[in-house]
Amino acid sequence: MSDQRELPGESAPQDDLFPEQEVDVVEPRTPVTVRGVAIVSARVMTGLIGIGVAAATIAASALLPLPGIHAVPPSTVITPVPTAQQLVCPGAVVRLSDETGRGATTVSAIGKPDTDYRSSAGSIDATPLTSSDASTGGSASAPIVVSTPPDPGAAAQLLLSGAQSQSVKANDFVGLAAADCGVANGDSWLAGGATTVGRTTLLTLSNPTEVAATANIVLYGETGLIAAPGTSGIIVPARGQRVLSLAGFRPNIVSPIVHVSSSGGQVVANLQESIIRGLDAGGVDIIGPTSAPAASNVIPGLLVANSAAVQALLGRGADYNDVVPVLRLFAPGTGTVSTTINVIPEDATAAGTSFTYQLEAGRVVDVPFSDLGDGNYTVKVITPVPVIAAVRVSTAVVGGSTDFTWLSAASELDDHAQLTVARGPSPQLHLANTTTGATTVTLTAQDGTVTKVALPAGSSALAAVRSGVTYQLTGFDSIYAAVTVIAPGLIARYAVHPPGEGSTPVTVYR
Amino acid sequence: MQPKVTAVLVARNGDQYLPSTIAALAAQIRRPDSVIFVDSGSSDTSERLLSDAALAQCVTTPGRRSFGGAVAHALQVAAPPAVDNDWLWLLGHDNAPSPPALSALLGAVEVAPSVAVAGPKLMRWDEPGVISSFGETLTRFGRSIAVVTDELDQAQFDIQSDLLGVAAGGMLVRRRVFTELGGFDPALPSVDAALDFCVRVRLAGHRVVGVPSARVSSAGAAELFGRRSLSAGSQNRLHRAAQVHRRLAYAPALAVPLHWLSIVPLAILRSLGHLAAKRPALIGGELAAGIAGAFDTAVPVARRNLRRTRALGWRAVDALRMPWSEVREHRAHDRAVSAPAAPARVGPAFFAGGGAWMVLLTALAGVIAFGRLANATALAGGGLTPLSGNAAELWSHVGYAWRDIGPGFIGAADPFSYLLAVIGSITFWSPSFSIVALYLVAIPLSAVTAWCCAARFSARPWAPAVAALGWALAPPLLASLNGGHLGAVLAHVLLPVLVLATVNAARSWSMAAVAGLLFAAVAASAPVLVPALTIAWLAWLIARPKSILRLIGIPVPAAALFFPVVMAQFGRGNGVALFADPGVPVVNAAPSGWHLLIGSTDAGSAGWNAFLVGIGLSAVPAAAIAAVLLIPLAVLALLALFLPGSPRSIPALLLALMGFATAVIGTHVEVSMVGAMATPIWAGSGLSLYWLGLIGAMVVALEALGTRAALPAIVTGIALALVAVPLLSAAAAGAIAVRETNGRLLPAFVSAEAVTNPTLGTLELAAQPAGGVAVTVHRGPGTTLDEQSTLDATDLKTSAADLRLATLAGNISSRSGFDVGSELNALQLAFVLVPHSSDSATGPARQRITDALNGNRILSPVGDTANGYLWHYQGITAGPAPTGPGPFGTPYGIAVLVGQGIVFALTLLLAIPTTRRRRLRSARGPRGVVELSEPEEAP
Repeated sequence: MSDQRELPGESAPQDDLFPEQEVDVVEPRTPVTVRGVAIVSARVMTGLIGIGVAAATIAASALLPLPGIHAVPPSTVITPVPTAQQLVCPGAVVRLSDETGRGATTVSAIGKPDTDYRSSAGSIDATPLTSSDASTGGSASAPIVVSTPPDPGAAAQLLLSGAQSQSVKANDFVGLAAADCGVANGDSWLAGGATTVGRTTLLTLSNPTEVAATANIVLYGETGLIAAPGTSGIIVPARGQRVLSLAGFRPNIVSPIVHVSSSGGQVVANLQESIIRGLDAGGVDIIGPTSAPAASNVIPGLLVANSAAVQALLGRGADYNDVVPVLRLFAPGTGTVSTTINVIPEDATAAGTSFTYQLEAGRVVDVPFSDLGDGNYTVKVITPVPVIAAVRVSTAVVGGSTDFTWLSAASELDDHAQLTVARGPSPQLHLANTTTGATTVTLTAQDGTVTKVALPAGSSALAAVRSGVTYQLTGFDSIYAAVTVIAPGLIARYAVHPPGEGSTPVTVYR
Repeated sequence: MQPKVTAVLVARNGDQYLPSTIAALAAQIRRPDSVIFVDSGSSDTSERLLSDAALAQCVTTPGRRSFGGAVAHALQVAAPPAVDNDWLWLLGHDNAPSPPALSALLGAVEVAPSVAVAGPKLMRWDEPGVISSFGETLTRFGRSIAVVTDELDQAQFDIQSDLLGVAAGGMLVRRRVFTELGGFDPALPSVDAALDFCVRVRLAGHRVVGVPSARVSSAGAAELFGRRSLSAGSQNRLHRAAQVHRRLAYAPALAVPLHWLSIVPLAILRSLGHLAAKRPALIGGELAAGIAGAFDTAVPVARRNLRRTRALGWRAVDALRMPWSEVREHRAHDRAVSAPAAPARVGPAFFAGGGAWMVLLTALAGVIAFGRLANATALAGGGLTPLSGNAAELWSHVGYAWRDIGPGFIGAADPFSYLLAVIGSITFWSPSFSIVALYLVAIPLSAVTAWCCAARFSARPWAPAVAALGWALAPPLLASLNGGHLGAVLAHVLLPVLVLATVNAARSWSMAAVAGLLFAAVAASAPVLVPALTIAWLAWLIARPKSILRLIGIPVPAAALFFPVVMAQFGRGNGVALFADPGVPVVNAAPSGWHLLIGSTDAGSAGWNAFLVGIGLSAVPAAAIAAVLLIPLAVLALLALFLPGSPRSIPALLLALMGFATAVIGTHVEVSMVGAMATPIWAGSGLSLYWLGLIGAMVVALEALGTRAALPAIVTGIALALVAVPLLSAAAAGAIAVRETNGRLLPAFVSAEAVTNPTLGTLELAAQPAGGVAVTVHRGPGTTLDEQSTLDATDLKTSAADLRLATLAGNISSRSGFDVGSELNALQLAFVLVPHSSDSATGPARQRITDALNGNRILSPVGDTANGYLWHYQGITAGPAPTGPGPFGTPYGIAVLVGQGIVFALTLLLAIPTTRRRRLRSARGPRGVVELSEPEEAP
C-alpha cells in the first residue's frame, strides 16, 4: 500500500494503519489514504512554519532595536530660601603649653589673628565661639563665627567670605599662618603635618552650630590606616572648639592624613603645624581642608621663592630634609594607582615638569619635587581612582627665618565666587584654568574696582590683589583659585572655596 | 336526550399534523355531530388542508388568536344554536384522537351529570406509548404542575378520574358551562389557560374528570401550540406571567396589594436563584414576567368574571391540589430524567497519576528555598512590604478614596489592592502572614494548578507530572518570588487554572464565572498580561461560537475592577501606565532578548551567573548552561507541531509567543518611577505566560508520544529541575531581595508614636544620584503594600501638593531660611527619615541631606535605625493631617464600590457550584431522594 513508502520502518502486520495507532488517542485511526498523507504533510508544514516563526521571533527580539516608552520622573528644582550663611575662621595659633612653655597638657593661644570678612549684601555678624580647649572662649583669639542674617529679598545667592592671617613670633613659634574662613560640614579631609620629633600637629574642630557634634576621625599615615584609641566619639560642644594633638593618637607619623566626619552638629576642621629644628623655629601654618578624594586634584598657588636658601638648609642635616617641596598623596583602597603629576608654571619664566608616579593605595606617600626653580606653579594630579593630594613648600632666608605652608587641593569654582584676601605682605591671587577653553575672570573689589584676568586654556595666572580686601569673581565656568602672602622667610597660602554648598538649588523627585 | 357534540379543531401552522388529525377525526367510532375547523393565522398550508378536508365549516380568525380565543371566535361565527345537552370537543391541530376517544369521553360524562369537563389522556405524538399529559393541578402555593409528564403508559394512571384540571387539547366541555364561564381567560394565551378554566369550572360547582380510555395525541405543551420551538427563557416567562396573573386573580381582595407589591422583588430574588442554579438564560424572562405582571390590566376583568361564576369556596379546589410530598417526588423524578450523563473522559488521577508525588517534591523545593521564612510575621524587600495591620484596614484601601501615599491624593485603588484585601483577609488576625504563607506554598501550589490543567488535556500521567514540575520550578516564578514581585507570583500560580476554567467555560456557566474571577485576579496581579490574555480570549470566542454567551462575560469582572483606574489613567492621557506592575515600585534591570528566551528576568541568566561564580566556576558561560538545560523543553514544544494534536499545540505555542512578546515589550516600557529613575515592567509575568505556552506544547507532545513518552519526560523533568537550582539556592542562602521583617515599616520609635497618634507623618528623603532628593511621606505606621498605588507611581505631573512637599524637602535638605517648623506642623510630619543606600552615586546628596538635618536646631537626631537615619521634630503640635474622603465618602466612590460589588456578587453566585455531584447512596428509600432535592423551583 501507499503508506509503506511513507513509513518504511513499520512492521508488516500494521501496514495498513498509521504506526501511531496504539498511542494516538486524540485522532481516530484512519487507514492510510491520500487523506492520511495529507495530514502528515500538513503536520510537517505546521511544524516547519512553527520553527520558522520561533526563529524569526527570537531573531527579532534579540537583534532588532525596539522602540520603547520611557517615562521621565517629574522633578522640581527647589532653590532653598536664603538663610543666614555662616563661616568659621580658625582663630589664633594655639600651642600645647602655657605662655611659659610649661604645662604640656594644656592648650593655650598665641595672640590673635587679623580677620577680615565681608558679605555681598546686608549686614554681617561676627561672634567668637563661646568655649574652647584653648580657654579662649568668647575672646578675640577664639575661632570667629561670621554670619549674615537671612535676606529673603535677595534674588541672587548671598556671598560671604572671610580670611585671617597671623604672623607669629613667640619663642619657638615663628612664621606666617593664613587661612580662609570655612563652611561647617559633616565630612572633611585634611592633608598635612607630621608628628615626628620637633613637629607639632594639632587638630582643631570648631562647631558653630546650635547642636553638639560627635566627631569621628580616621588617621592615615605612611604605614596605612592608624588605629588609635580616642579617635571616635569626640564631642564638640555647640558653639565650641576642641583642640587635639595628633601625636596624642600616634607619635612619629611622617605623613598623616586625617578624615573627620561629624554627626549631630557640623564642624570646621583645621590642622595647625609648627616645626622646631633643634633650637631653630621652622615655621607655623594653619592647614585648611583639602578636596574629598577625587580623580583630578588641582593645587594652584605653589610659590617657590628663595630656593637657593632652602637648598642651603638641606646641608644642615637630616632634620632639615622636610624643607624640600613635596606632594602628599593618598589613595583609599588597595592596589597601585598610576598617578600623573603636572606642574604647570604660571608664566614663561619658570619651567614646569610632568611625571607619573606609581602610587601604592592605602598608604600616604610624600613625593618630593626636586629641581623646581623659583616661580609660581599649579600642580595637577590626575588618577584613575579618587585620591587625596596636597603640597608642602618651604621658604627661607639665609641666616634668617624659615617658614612653610601646606597647599590643599582647591575646589572647583563654577560661575561665581567671593574671596577675602588675608592681611599680609605681597598678597597674590593665583587662578588656574584646567579646561580646554579660554576664559576671562572678572575681579570686582569691594570698592568697585574691576580687574580682568585672561586665562587661556590650561593655563594659570596671577592677579595682584590688595591686603584685607574682598573680591567677587565672575565670568567663568570652571577655575581654581588660591591666595598667597609671602615675605622673605615667611609664607602662607590658602585655597578659595566655592560659595556654601548647602544653599545651592536641589532637584526634588516625587 | 342524545348529547350533541360540536368538535372545534384549531390549527395554526400545523400542516405536518393536520392530515393525521383530520383523518383520526373522521375515523371516530362516535363521530361529532358538527365540526368547525378554525385556522388561527397560519402561514403554511394549514388553511388549505382544512378547507380541502371539506368535513365541516371552516373559519379563519382575523390574525393570530390564542387557542381559547380561536375557539371563542369559532363559536361566535359558526356554531349551530345551543341546545341543553350540547358539548364542545376542543382539539388542536396536533390532537389526533384515537377512534374510541369521543365515545369514551361521552361515556364518562353521561354517567355523571355533575361532570362539566372531561379530558382525555394526551399521548406523545412521536412516542404514542408515552403519556404527554394527563391532568393538571396546583401546588399549595398556586403553581401549576402537571400530574403526569413523559411517563411510559403502563396503565398506571388509569385509576384516576377526578382532576383539578385537564389540558385544553382534547377537552370535552359542556357548552352551557363554557359560555357561562366566559371561556378561556384572554389574559392567559396558552400556559395555564385550560387549568384556569377548569379551576373556575370547579368553583362554579361542576366536576372535571380525566378519562384514561380516551387517548389523544399531543405534540407538546400548550405554549408550543403553533410554534416550532420555544427557548427556555420564553417558556419560563410564559409560566411566570401566567402564575402571576392567576395569583392576582385568585387572591382574596385584601391580599391583592400585598401580592402586587411582592411581584417585582420576587422576580429579582428568583433571578438571583436562577443565577446560583446556573440558569442565567431564565433571568430575562423572569424579570420581564414580573414587570408585565405588575402592570397586568386584565386582572380586574378576571376577578369580576371569577366572582360572578363562583358558587363554591376554594375548599373545593384545595382537596385536589398536589401535596408537598408528591411535588418533591415529581421534582426528583424530573431531575433524574434530565440529569446529563457523567462525562466519559477519564484522565489520570491525582494520587495514582503521580500528581501527589510532584506536589510533595516541589513542596520540598519550596521548603528548602523559603522554609527559613516560616517563622516570619511579614516579608519586605524588593516589591514587598508588609500589609495593613487588620482586615478592616485592608478593605478600607479599596475603591475610590483618599490614597495616603506621598502627599496623598484622591483616586482609585489599584485592582491589586482588592486582591490583597482578599488574600490578607484569609489570615485576618495578621494579614501580612498571608504573604508569608503564600511564599511557603507558592511552589507546590503552582504544581497543583499546573497538574490539574495538564491532566485536563492528558490521558496518561507523564505529561501532567512533568508539567507540574516544570511549572512549579519555572525560573520566572522563582525570580518573581526572590524579587518580591507578588503580583507576578499570583499570576503564575493562577494562570493554569485560568486556562482550565476558560476551556471548561465553553460548557459550563459555573466555570465561565470562575474563569471571570480568575481573569480578574490575574489581570489585577499582572496588568501587563491583559493584552495577551484578551487576544487569547477572543480567539477562544471565535473557536467556540456556540458558547459565546458563556465565554463573552469572562472579562466583565476584570473590567469592573479596572474601570476606575482606566478612567483615571486615560483622564491623564497616560493609558500605557495601566500596565504598570502593582506593589512597591522597584527598579528592574531590563534583560536582553536572549536572556528572556531562557526565562531569565534579568541579565543574570536565571541566577546561573551568580551561582557559577559562587561555586568557583566563573569561567563557564552561564547563559549557555541554562540554554542547554532548556533544550529538552524547547525540542518537545516544537515537536508538538509535528505530532497529532495541533489544535492544542498551536494555541499553546501562540500563547508562548504572546507571553514572550509581552516580556520583550515590557522591558521597553518604563512607566513606573522610583525617585529619579523609571523602571521597565517586570519581565516575570510575561515570561510566565511564555512558560505556560511552552509547557502546554510539551504536554501535547508527551501525550502524542504515548507509551514512548517516558524517556523524554524524565529527561525534560530532570533538566527543568536543574535549571531552577541557582534561583532556589539563592533563596535558600538568603541572597535575595525578600527578607524576613517584624512587620514594621518604619523605625520602632516611629511605630510606637504611631500607636498613639496614627496621623503623624514621616518625611522620607532618599538621596538620588546626581545630587537629587526623592521625597515621600509615610502616614502613621507607614505605607503598606495595599496602600501602594500605580496612579501615584506613574504620575508624570507635579501637583500642588507635590510641589509643597518638594519645597519642604528641598529646603530641609539645605541650609535654608525656610520656616521648616511650621510647614512640618501644617503637614503633621514629626519625623524625617533618610533611608540607607548602597549606591555610592547617591553619596553627595546623602551627605548634603544629613548635614542639613544635623545642622537643623528644631530636629533632634534619633540615630541610625534599621530603616535609615531618623530625626524627630519634637515641636509638633497636634493638628489635622491632610486627609480626604473614604471609599464611601464621594458619590463616585459609592457608585464604583456598588457597581463592582454587584458584578462580583453576581459572578460569585454564578460561580458557586450548585449542581450537585451524584453520589452513590445505600438504599434508604425516599429519604435519599429528598436530600437531593433543591429548594429552588425548576422552571
